[in-house]
Amino acid sequence: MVISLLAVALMLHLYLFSKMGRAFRIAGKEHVWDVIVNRNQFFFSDLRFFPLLAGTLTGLFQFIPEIIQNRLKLMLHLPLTEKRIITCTLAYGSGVTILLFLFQFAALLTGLQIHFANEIIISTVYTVLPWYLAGITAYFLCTAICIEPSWKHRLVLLLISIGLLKIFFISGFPAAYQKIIAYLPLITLIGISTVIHSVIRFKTGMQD
Amino acid sequence: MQAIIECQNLTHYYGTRCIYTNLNFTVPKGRILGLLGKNGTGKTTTINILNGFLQPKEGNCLIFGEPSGKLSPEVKQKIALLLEGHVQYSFMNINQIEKFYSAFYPKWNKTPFYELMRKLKIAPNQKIANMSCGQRSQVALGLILAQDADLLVLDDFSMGLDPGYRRLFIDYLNEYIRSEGKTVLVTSHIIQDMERFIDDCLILDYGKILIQIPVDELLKTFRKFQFTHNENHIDWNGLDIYNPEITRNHAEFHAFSNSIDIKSLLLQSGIQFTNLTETQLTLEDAFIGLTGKY
Repeated sequence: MVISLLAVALMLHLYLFSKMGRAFRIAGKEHVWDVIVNRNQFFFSDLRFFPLLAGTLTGLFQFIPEIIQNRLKLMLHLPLTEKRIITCTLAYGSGVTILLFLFQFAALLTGLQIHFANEIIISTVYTVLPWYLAGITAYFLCTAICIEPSWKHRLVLLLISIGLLKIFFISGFPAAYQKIIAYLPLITLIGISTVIHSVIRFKTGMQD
Repeated sequence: MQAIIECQNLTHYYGTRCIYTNLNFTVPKGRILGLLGKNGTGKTTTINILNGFLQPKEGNCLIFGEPSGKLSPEVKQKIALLLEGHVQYSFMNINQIEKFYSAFYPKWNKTPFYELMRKLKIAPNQKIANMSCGQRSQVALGLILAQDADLLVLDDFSMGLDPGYRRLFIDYLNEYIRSEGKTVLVTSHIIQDMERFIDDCLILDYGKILIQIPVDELLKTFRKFQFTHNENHIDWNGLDIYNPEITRNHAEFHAFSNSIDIKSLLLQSGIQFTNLTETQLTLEDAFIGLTGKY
């Protein structure tokens, strides 16, 4: 699954930069610059939902087999503290997600540095960072939904998750989140605390 | 004798449905306790409470002196858990799963695990997902033997197994448990398997414990009685008997008694009878005798 996501990230990256190259060839670099600087067009909008999808899929692929095959009990019975078991499991999933994002982000920055000035690069970073944070948050929220033992609560969590994730996508305007970007990780923290909430409910055998 | 499991005043409800109230039982060191009961009497609930995956509404359950919901890693190392359906990491193969678990258990001994795998001709690189239910059960058993735990909690170990694998599972486990003096709590739907395996039985009825007794004592003292009668109605009220049934002129019931005492009991109650017979029971018969057929 991770390899598939990496391949999709790579293909998306190639697509974005081939699209940019074509725009440079057809419209000219000056025009592309003009569109970006003066008309506030963002060139990498196609990237917008990829981190969200990647985070969601990582969470689902990691935890759905555990839930369907009832292996979560097996995992929690390992002779470690439950805190350590959960921390290690989440660190693995979120670590893989973050590594994937770092790889894609580094490739994006490398490509940007060849063609654009620092101001545009910084604006691009502020634009895409909320999307990556959305991906990491989606991983935690998906995990929480999977671990939650009751379907009713899962539905409630799903609605809360949609609401929380929507915050990252309110505006597609370049660098729209610049002033509040420092506060966005708080939503990710809510995602983490939701996982802890679900684990506690699973451990106590809540059914409603 | 030291109690390995101590459940005190367990009370649990699902919503408003009462599973049981004030359930008390202990499992002493070195004993094999079979938890028996019809569907819905709370066997799985009890196992979940013991495994720490369910918080009872009231009461507590101690394993090696620690609350079952908050077991330390040291105590978890002493407990081998067999989940219903022989759940395992099915994406691993035999070698991988053995190596995976060995890292967690200091007393790990891989010899019995590989011995069992060789006996069943399971290749070390065979993936668990590609095995039959019977083979998977033996992998789970092999891992339990390798863990060398002090307490074994086996939830419905016979589920999905054919008679051969059930027999193999019990024989292998029995020999290991008896020779090593392990403590076991086991549930199974197939009670005839339990007769050859458990020391004590705890029979759950809806909402309460019906009886906790050594199996030998149960089989020695609990009997089925049958007689012929000519009355239209028999008043069983006040008699210390279990599940009386009348079919035409044939009556039967179960009791912790013998035919001499039952004879005088029936006479004292004014019940007319002929051809009183007493039958020794298997564990399954005794279970039905205590809990009823439906």
